[in-house]
Amino acid sequence: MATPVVELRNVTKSFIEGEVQALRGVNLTIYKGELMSIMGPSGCGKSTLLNLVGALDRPTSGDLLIDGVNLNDVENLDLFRSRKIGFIFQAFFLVPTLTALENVEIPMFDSGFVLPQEKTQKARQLLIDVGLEKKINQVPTRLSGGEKQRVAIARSLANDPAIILADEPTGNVDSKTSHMLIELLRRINQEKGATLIVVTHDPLIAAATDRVVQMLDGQIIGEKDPKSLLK
Amino acid sequence: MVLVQIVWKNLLRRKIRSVLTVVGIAVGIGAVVSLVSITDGFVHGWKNMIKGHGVDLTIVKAGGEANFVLNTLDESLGDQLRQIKGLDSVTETMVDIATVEDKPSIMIFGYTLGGDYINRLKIVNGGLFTSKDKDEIILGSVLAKSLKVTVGDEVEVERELFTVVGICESSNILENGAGIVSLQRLQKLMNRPGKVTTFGIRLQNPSQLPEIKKEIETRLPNISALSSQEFVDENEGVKMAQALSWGISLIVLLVGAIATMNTMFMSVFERTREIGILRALGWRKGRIINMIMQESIVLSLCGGVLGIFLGMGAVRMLNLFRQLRGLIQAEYTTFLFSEAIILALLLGILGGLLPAWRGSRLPPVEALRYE
Repeated sequence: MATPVVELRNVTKSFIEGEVQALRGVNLTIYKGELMSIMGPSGCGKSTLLNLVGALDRPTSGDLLIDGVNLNDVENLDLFRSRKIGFIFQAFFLVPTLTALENVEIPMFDSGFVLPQEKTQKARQLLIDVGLEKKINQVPTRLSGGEKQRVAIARSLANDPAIILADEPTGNVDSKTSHMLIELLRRINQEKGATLIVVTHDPLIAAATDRVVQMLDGQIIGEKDPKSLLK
Repeated sequence: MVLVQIVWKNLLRRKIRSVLTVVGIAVGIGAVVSLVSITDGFVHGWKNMIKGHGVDLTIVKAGGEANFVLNTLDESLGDQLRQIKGLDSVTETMVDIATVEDKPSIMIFGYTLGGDYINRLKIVNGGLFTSKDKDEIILGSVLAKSLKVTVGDEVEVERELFTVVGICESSNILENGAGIVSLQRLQKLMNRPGKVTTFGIRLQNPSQLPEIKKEIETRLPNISALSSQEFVDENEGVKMAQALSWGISLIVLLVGAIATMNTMFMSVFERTREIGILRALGWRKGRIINMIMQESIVLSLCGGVLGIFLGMGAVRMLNLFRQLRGLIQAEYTTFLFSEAIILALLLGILGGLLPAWRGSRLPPVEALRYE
């Protein structure tokens, strides 16, 4: 039987002293090794859900278990996040002054997973894995959108995380690059066995995942068959 | 990659801003370095002069200032001092400020012919004055050079003409930039008959200094007998110069810290989202603080090092001015350089603390949303 890697039990999240309810009692289980997507219109709570699963924030109420650990019991979210979660953002969010190699090294600073002297070697290997061996020493301004996102993907893998969260990963690239990126994510999911959660508006991207969860008004309203999105 | 590489790249991102901050700090540190080195040089010169005169005790008015110029004593006091046992010699001196040619503030020493002070002068050209009443003057080498006069020439002192009979060279800047006439001639010139500013006392046995000092002060309650060190420490000019350099250092610390803080705050505001990314990728608050503090300290230390050179350059520049030539003798000590670097370090720490704290407190979710 599949092992749950993320479990949300009646999770709520409100802002401005309860005036805005972004999540209203969300229940969801995500299993180890899954490649799944979360779809929904703007303001439906996708990003809030992503922030909670990414341990960037804590739920207002309810339980959120990541890799078997209840987030309410975690004291140091920074350390927890660096060890368990890899992030891929729509706008890449690379540090502009650092080279591709240095950007990939960033998450390894405080995780305690990688020895300082091994950081560079590991970052180099990850960039080779995503096909950027010739761009290792380039700064982000000298990379195309697709290349920047591949650097971000390599960076998300730096600490061998249990979960990789991708927020609209193809939102800033053309359709050809978008297709190539989703293939890369699929390959990583299969080769590394990491759970991949993609938040997207794009039905074509969602269709490439194994499971599609739909959200509306801070709640999960159901699941869709990915193939049905292509019709 | 190590953190310091990131720090360096962050500083190079806004080169002009970083350079301007460094220059701002350097100007402040330079001001401290030049001022303190000149003060130290002055104190050192003062000490040298007192020691060079070979006197063990200097007599000044009790409760008055240990100031050569402002101190006034009756010349007759000398006879009372000479009655005290254990003294080898008592020499009267007068110091005043006079206009020499077109130079308004020149120190003029009035020394007794045959006394300790004049016997220790190192004459490099000419000789000593021949009579206590003649209009003769010995010039310090720096003053002679700046007046462009030599032995045999005449110079105007307080609108009276004096013949230059000798040029002397001293290890201290004060005497080098001064003129020396006989005590009696100076009393007449400055209209202070029967007055002197200090007495220099040489002891038969210098180890008796504490006892003799006590005896002088008991017998003559209106005067103080100061050792060379005390005379230097008690000097109003020295005290003022030291207080001034401390005051300037504090102002530099404050202004420098504010300038650094401003730069660092701007840098943190600009990088709000980037700091959020670093936090999202697992950087601890402590590492963010460390990064911003290092940036601030690198800026201030660069400013400190540049400031030292700037300060030394400023002293050289001051010496190029005709009016100041030879009168400024800066003293550079390891202590001064350490003080400059510590000052720079302090203002880097003070300037970086608040921005670093703010940067580390940015919630990653908010920071990532920041446009």
